[in-house]
Amino acid sequence: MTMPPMLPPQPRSAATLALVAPAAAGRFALQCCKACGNFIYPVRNICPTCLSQDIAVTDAPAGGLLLSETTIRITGDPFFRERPPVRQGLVRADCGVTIIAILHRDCPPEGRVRLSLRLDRGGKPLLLAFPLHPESSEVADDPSLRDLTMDPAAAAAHLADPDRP
Amino acid sequence: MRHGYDGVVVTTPVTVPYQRFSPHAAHWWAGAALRGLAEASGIAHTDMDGLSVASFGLAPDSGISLTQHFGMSVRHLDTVPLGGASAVVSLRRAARAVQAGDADVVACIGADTNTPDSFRQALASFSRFAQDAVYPMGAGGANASFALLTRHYMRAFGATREDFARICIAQRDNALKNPDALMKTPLTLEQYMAARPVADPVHLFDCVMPCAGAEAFLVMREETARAQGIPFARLTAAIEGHNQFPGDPVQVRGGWARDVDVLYGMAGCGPEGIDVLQTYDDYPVIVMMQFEDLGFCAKGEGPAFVRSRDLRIEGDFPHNTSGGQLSVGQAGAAGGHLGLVEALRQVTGQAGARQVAKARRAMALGFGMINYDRGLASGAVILEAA
Ligand SMILES: [Zn+2]
Repeated sequence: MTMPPMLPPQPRSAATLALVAPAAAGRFALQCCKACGNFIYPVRNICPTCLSQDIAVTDAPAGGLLLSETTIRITGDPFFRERPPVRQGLVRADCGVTIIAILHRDCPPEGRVRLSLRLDRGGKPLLLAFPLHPESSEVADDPSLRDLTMDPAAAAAHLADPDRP
Repeated sequence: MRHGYDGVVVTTPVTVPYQRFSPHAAHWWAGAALRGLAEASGIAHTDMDGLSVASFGLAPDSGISLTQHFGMSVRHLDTVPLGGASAVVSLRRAARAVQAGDADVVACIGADTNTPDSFRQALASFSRFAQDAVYPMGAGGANASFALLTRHYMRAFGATREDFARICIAQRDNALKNPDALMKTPLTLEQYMAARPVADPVHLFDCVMPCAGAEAFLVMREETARAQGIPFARLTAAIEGHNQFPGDPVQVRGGWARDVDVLYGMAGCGPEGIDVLQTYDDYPVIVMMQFEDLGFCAKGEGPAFVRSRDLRIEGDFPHNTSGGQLSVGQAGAAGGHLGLVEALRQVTGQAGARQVAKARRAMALGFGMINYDRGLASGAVILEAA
């Protein structure tokens, strides 16, 4: 008898699922207010700057400044408990929002990083940050990131049919 | 100029002794606190006409359900879902209600239970932002959120783990005089430094131990307390603030900093007039921010402050005299009441072995609700001996 694979934390707001399509396509896109032009994160139902509700998911500059970091060694979550410690950072994105992201193992402890929007193993949006050097840094060279994210082929299939396991 | 709290007093500090785990519901703990209030004040719960309750564990109930559960008929009812800031907010609202005559006696209760799985469940369903944008990035909970703030604070202001240790060790020393504290043995610097990392740079002794328990007090007018013949403290000042300083890229201050002058203005004193301080100590970095934001030292001088002061009951800066949440335990939303109840004990001379000599004026602080990247809720009160 095989157990179904354990999934990462699942419950998300309905609004945040707007980030699934760009994540599956490998695009770094966030909500942006069409009225005032400000980017918005975490996902909201209204722009906190001008209270417009005319909001669209828009490609954003992927640069950011890593302000602080931690390594999460103890968690009560059944999915993360079975995996190596997650390196997490607080990133001030160039587009103006603050992002809590999972850090690639080669990110420096502070300084510039490149943000990326991916799908996790459950097909939900995940925020990652990569070092600028080497520029080629990818999910593939960090085993813990590889284990947390859906690979691009699976992501494309997920986008075509989100209900498929 | 804000209206003062003339005529408003706080009475009857009650602690229902904590337990690491409990088979009982939060209702059981809140009910035990209410019984404690009635026994200690001589006021039957059926004669209390106000109830304010804070708890993470009452679902699907709230304060309204508790009126029937406890057999109370009230004129003032509040459910304050503000975690570490809930006691200050409960007290502020209750104070205005009794001052205006909308109610005569308000029972303010913080209570929670702790089952082996309840902590994780609470984390996963804490807020929408947490659910969408924090929990999936490693499920580190509050430990990870405060680790990010702690690392940044250490870099910005030169704080070291040894500085945080001073806070934790002094509180443990205080806790040894508190029979209700879950931690019963001294904490050494060696033990603190050697503790296992939880979310770097946060290690085991920087974290509170979740537990079950309850804390409570009564709010009434002075003439009511006198007629009842119970010790009371005057409420002289109170502030609260939520989502203050949203433009700070990383949190280095709480909402206190915005209204600290209002607080001291109402109390008619400055930081030097505070005889005993109860900070909100979910993590030592937040304690250090409170020393700064409430004007006991300047921003960034928290590390130097803890190196130069003795934070024990008998020291030159008596702080978290119960042992605080770091050594007593954190009973959910009751944790936000621990400091206020201890402050009340101190200025009414009911602190027993923990009594600070000549404690006439005490400050109690609240902080909480990490919604995304920072704690949103802050509050402060000053209580003065009658
Ligand atoms: Zn806008």
